[in-house]
Amino acid sequence: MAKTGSGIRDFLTSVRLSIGLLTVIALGAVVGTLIPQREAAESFAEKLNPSLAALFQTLQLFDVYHSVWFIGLLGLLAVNLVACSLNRFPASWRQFRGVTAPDDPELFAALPSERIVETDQTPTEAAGQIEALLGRGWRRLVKTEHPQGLLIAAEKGGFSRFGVYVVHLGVLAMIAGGLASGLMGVKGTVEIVEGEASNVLQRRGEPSLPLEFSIRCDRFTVEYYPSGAPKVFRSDLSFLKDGQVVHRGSLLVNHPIDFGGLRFYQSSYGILPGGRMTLSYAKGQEKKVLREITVGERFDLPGADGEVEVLRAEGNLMRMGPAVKLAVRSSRGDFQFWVFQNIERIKEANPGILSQVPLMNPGLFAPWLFSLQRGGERFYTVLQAARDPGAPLVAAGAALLIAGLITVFFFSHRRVRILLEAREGGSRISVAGTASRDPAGLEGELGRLAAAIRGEGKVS
Amino acid sequence: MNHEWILSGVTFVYLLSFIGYLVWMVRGAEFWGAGASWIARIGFLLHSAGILLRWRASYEMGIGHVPLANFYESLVFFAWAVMLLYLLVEWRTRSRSPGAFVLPVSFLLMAYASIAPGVSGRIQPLIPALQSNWLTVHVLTCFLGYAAFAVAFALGQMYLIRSRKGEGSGTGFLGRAIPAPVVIEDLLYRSVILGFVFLSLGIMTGSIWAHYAWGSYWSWDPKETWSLITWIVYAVMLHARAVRGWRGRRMAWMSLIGFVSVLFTYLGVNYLDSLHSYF
Repeated sequence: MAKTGSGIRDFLTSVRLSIGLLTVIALGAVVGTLIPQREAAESFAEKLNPSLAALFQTLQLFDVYHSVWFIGLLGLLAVNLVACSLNRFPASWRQFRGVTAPDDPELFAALPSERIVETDQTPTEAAGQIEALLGRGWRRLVKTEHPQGLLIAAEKGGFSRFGVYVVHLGVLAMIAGGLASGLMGVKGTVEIVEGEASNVLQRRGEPSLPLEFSIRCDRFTVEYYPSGAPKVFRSDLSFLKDGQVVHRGSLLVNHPIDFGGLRFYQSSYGILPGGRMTLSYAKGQEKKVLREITVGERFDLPGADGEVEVLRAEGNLMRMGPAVKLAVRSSRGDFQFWVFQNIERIKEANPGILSQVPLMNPGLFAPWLFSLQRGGERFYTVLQAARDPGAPLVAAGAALLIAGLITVFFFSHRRVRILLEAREGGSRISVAGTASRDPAGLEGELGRLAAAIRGEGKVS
Repeated sequence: MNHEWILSGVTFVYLLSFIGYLVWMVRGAEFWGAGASWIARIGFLLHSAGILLRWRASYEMGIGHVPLANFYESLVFFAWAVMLLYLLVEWRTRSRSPGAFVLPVSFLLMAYASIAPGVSGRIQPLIPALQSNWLTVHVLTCFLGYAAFAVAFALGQMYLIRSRKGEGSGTGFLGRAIPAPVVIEDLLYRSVILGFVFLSLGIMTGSIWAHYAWGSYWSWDPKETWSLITWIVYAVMLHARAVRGWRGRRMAWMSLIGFVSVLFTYLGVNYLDSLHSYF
């Protein structure tokens, strides 16, 4: 029994297991990026051979990142991480607390000449100076008698031995946070037609959730750059409780709003037909007239210049947005043309289009110029709503991870031992040391230390 | 001077510098090496000037933003970061042999930015999703990470060539021009460390940004997932080195595998459906 126990222990504490798990997790993640996941999986599965699709389904390959095996691998990684860390921690602690200067006869063998300093001071005098020198930056200074003379030992950066545990703790916190987000988090969308209110949180694969308040979209705005690229998506929202507005705010992409324990994000929008249409028209520089219109209606232009009939209305004509088709009958003849709401943008994108395509010229019946102020579209906005209790844990984990990585990679536990031997007319000082990592950095530091003892330059 | 002209010109400066490094390695004549180094430095200065001019030009157009906002700009910055790291390595180690391996990377990135169809060099205004202060810090950290991995990739190739059987003695022009394997290995390790820390920061800043823009710090978007895969590849590499004592050719091979993953994260993902479609 004891043997099996230690077998499991050896397995769980092995770095081979960590490397193996990380590799399998990475491969699983690759599969998840190659096979369409979740919503996208349905149409993909239809194209597959049915038995293959069934196999994929059984292996949960259409939702890799939420599959039992993927989460199981992450769980096993967490266990392995804890086991490895616990297994190694005592050794690191001993390294951290351990004797600053264990006896290592090899240490002073074959030192390069620049690390040996000859001085006319006695070892005791020199030791005082060296101790003062090491006072800055070095810790746990110890001076001992040595068979060959005096030995001064000191160390720095001992904390870097723990960096790796901080990294592992960070990863564990992130796995735990991710789990908390998945299990306790609430995520959904709220769709609101402009001018209306909604209190329904729609969730993917779960029943909708009624909110304790409702959200009204007072106005939805899309603005464009001249190039046609979107510039602003904005929902002006009112949050209502018992019919009373308790909070107002403008929701923009990258600027979420917190309300009622949820955080709301501008996610998407859409256009519904059936809204009001407003036409404006003016003769030359004269004052504009605004008029609400419906398809089929007729009205006279001022000054008996002609009669206008609204022939058709389109929500998105030729993918250029809302437009209405007008017919003008006058003594000068009959004119038919489309009035696009986005005419300014269309003109900018297609210079000269109005002369090339008179049917698109809202000023065809000169000097009258028509424009469509509101094209009958009704916007609806889609808000993403989320409550994520795991997020703070993940953020803390990420901060630990970064702090740990910096400790591991940019610091090392350095120990210096300086041997002072009495020589005729002075002493001979040898500077040696060890480091937990980065031998080149240690060489540099010891070299600078020897130079400082020699009286050239400063210790950094 | 126009930034687009300068940045296309830089492509040829890097090509010239690459040829210089190559000739220096083969011929061993100091003249070529020094020339290649100077051309690389001049190229880097022009490159920096080009980025700054482009930045200023965006403000003159009234849509001012850091030039890190589309695919073209990311390629240009990637190449710039590779050159920055390389010139630092050359300066610190006083060894210019990695040049022959790094310069082709920066040259190809700049060439791709300048001539590839579908890569628009125009300055575009920021769409709503990109209007965030996290844009700069996220792109900066990610591409510094990619650049450090690119340098490690170049060093990995150098290591494999230098440590090949028959070259181990250090005779022949490669032995003369390329430093000892131990030296390359140390540099390679340092580059990977730098890349790993920056990639971690890049993923973290991206996550924070996603939390504010999309309402979810992690959505298993292909780009996110591939950045995690890349992170794991290098995490495995670092663990294998620290705990299992991997050195030398194994580390060199890992730096090549890692860079393939970086390239897929950066470019390959564009062929998958991604929220990161602007890069």
